[in-house]
Amino acid sequence: MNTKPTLAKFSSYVLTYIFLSFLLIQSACINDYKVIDDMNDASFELVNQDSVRVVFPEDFRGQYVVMGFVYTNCPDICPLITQNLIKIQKDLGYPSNVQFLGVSFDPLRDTPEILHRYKEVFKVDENVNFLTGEPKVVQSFMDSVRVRTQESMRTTTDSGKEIYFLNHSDKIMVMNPKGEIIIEYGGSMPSIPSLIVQDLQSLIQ
Amino acid sequence: MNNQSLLFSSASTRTKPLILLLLFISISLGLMLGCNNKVDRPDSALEEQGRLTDLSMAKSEWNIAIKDAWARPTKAGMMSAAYFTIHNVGSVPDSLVQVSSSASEDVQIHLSYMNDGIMVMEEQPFVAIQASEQIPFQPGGYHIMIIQPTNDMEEGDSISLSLYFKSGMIIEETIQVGNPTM
Repeated sequence: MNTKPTLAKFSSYVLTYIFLSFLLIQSACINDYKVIDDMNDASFELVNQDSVRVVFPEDFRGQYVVMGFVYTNCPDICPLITQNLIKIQKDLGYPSNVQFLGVSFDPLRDTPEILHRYKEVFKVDENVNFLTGEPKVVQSFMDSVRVRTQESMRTTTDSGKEIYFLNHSDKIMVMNPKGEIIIEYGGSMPSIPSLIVQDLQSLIQ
Repeated sequence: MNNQSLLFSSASTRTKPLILLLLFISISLGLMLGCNNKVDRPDSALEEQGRLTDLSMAKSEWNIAIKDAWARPTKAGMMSAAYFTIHNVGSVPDSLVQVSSSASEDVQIHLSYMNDGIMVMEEQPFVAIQASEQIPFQPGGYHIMIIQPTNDMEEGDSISLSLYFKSGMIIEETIQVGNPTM
């Protein structure tokens, strides 16, 4: 009887089919990022570090945007987020079709002048803009991208200065050219730049 | 009649100057010794806070080292932070209770950590260091916050940092501005 070889042959066909289907599905999924937030219905009037009016997301339509959320009175975590933005830009080779943004969630203190100085401290490239705006607009922006902030500590220092700090979400996001937020990362983590670079390279190709 | 009056009334005219001289010498010695103690003790504000509880600790048991110290560059009036690894090489536990710096009048011990998806930063009243323990002060964890420094802190500059311990010991370091690993 030659049933056994036929069954074996049939089984190998089935397994090959399953394997190829799996590969096909996987390759199709590589660039298939789920939309986290669609920003197309939104319009936020902000200003950059040079007091130039910026409308988000309209002004960035057609390009990828990598944006981190910071405040300049943050001595520890926000510098890490800022440095990650700088590293991503550098590792991508300063691409002209990717815009980098640092958005302040502390508009009361982070005026354009302060953001300008902050950029100088970190020696940030021209293609990175830091944004601020009217507190209500900024708050609405933060709500739309689910960045949470809360005042953590208000204190008078030994020298009599009144200061406060903010607890905040730790995020860097990628928005695609259609104005959709498609990826979110932990903003300050040291492993983040390589992940974002890898994802962006696969998206841009 | 009190004891002092008795002492003087019973002393002869010749011994009175001697007693006065001895009193003068003992008071002077007391003051001098008191001043010498300042070398190893933080300022009086710390004592008022009741933080110094173990001044009897022998120096030979106490050995705390600071290594890999650096501070983040910034502009005058903005924020900076200092980082290092603190290593208790000695055989007794201690606690870092206060910090000061030439860079700013306002310097605090802080801890950043993630809580329920939110990055939190809190001032720490102290950081306990067990014998033989190493505690890294690093971005995203413990750090020394330098609030609104008086001058720009440029890469390559140096600032002083004084670390005050519960034991009464002080470490004074000159640290570099700029992360040497970057």
